[in-house]
Amino acid sequence: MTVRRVIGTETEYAVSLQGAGHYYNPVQLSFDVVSGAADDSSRTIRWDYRQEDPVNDARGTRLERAAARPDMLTDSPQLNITNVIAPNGGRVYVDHAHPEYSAPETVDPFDAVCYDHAGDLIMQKACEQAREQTGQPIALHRNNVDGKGSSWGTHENYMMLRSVPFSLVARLMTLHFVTRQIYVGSGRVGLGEHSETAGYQLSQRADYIQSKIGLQTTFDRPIINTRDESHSTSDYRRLHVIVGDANRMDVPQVLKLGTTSMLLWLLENADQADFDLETFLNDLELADPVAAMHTVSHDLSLAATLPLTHGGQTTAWLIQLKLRQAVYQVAAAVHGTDTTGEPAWPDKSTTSVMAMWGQALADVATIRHASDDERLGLSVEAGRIEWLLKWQLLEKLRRKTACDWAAPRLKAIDLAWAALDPASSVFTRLAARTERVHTAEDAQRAANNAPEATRAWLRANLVRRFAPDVAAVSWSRLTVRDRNAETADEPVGEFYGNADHNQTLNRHLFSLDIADPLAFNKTRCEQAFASCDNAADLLRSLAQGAPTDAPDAHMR
Amino acid sequence: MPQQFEQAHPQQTSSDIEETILTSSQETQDQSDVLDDILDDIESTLETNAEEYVNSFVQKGGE
Repeated sequence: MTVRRVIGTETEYAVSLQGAGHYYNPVQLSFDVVSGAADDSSRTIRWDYRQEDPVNDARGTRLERAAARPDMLTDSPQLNITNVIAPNGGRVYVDHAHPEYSAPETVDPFDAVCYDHAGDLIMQKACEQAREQTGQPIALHRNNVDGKGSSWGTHENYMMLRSVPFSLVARLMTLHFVTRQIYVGSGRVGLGEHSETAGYQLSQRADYIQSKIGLQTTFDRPIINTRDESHSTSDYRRLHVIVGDANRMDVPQVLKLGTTSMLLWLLENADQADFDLETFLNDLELADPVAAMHTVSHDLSLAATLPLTHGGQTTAWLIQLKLRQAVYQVAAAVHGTDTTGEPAWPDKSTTSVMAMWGQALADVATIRHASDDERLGLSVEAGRIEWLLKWQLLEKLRRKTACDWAAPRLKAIDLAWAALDPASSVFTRLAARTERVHTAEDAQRAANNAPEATRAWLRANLVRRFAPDVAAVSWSRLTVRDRNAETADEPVGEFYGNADHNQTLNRHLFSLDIADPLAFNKTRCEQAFASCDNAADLLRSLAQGAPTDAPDAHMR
Repeated sequence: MPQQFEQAHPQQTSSDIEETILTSSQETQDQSDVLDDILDDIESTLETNAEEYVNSFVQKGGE
């Protein structure tokens, strides 16, 4: 029972122009920022949007020309860059009206947080580049709301066993997502989608969640998103979580990823431990999860009651306590316990996450029993609970200036909290008071280097070494030009309708299926880089050595 | 403190956490003073620019 599994985050940033009187188009600004993330070599690489082949196909197939997307047959720079492969194997791209960073695949929540913060560095650098290129005062914010009706996402992705019925995933995760807000919320000034009511709430995102379950992510947003695009092999699904906040602090981020991962393990191991999941879920089923999502976020008393389907009521804190106890129960059954009754957690990350989860619930209990005056002095807790630290600053200012929660200066602090530029970020001034799980140097290293345990290592290093020969990249497939192909000078002709004719000589494309996120890690691929001097040979040699077994996504 | 809240305290010793946490906020300066200093620092900017900053921040929806 471990917290380790394939995890990746996605962060949409707000993009705007600083200063008065600017009219701006966020879509164009998003293109400007993404373009700022590209360098000359990566400008030619496409993102491969084609539907992935059915998984478990033979790895390393020669791509039929008819199956190639026309723009993959050119190595000319893209006019409007919508995708950039980040140096760490992640992806920078335009998503709707926001520049987005998808972190490379990692296998540990602590690493995932480090790579998430690496994204802040990559995006801020891209933004500065875009400012230079366009001469405009472009700024990025890491938040989820504009207070005027719009919301954008901070997503979590977890690889999990497909054998767990999705209905069980949905029921358990609903309980978790509604209630974890009490310790992972990043805090928000304003209540309602348009901040119709003045006030402060725990979560940025809660008011924009309006349905229980569904495929959609941009309207009528669900607590449980059902997008089923695994980017992996057939034994696994990717749980795509859209309810989370963009945190600036480390501890809530680790908790968000760590506790969710542990609960997925509970689902995957409940049978083995004879844990009665059905009864557990029935007893805790919320009568109205969407209403509860809003209630919990709006409840600074931390004591609001949530009605249960089968009678009675509970609180967010109690549900969290029961979720954590259930993990303990299953872990004790699977792993046994030490002399103190603590389950024998298999690795340090799991031990830490379980301790941090307990600490978070203790912190929330402390906050709950504190008056507002006392809450203002809770320094240790505020180093771990982001909504509390933000509230302290706002409440101080509110008292000092005798203003109410509708005051623009409070909204301005909420916004400046999220400013990515350290020079204008309010959070940056408080960062040293918060508990960190990695150093600034760790984050910088993660911005420039891929995680070594996943296919992100191959993706990043392929691009680093052979960028001119890389035609297209996606999470689960790499496509390169085979410059040694015998029919290399056979013309493509007008078949693809590509006007850039000189660029589209028929260089065969060679494609490698990397659906297994763990198979193409540094250990497996490093030797091939040493022995191959072109991209096609490299992928060909990796295809030959590809394991045929289903991946083991779990770090047992 | 009611019984239910006492159960929240972690069963592990805090050393598990301390191993993971690099820096903690165990500074001697009082939380209140720190917050005051920051507010003093940013207040002059806020007074003149808060409204403009907030009003000019308009986004389109995302995922």
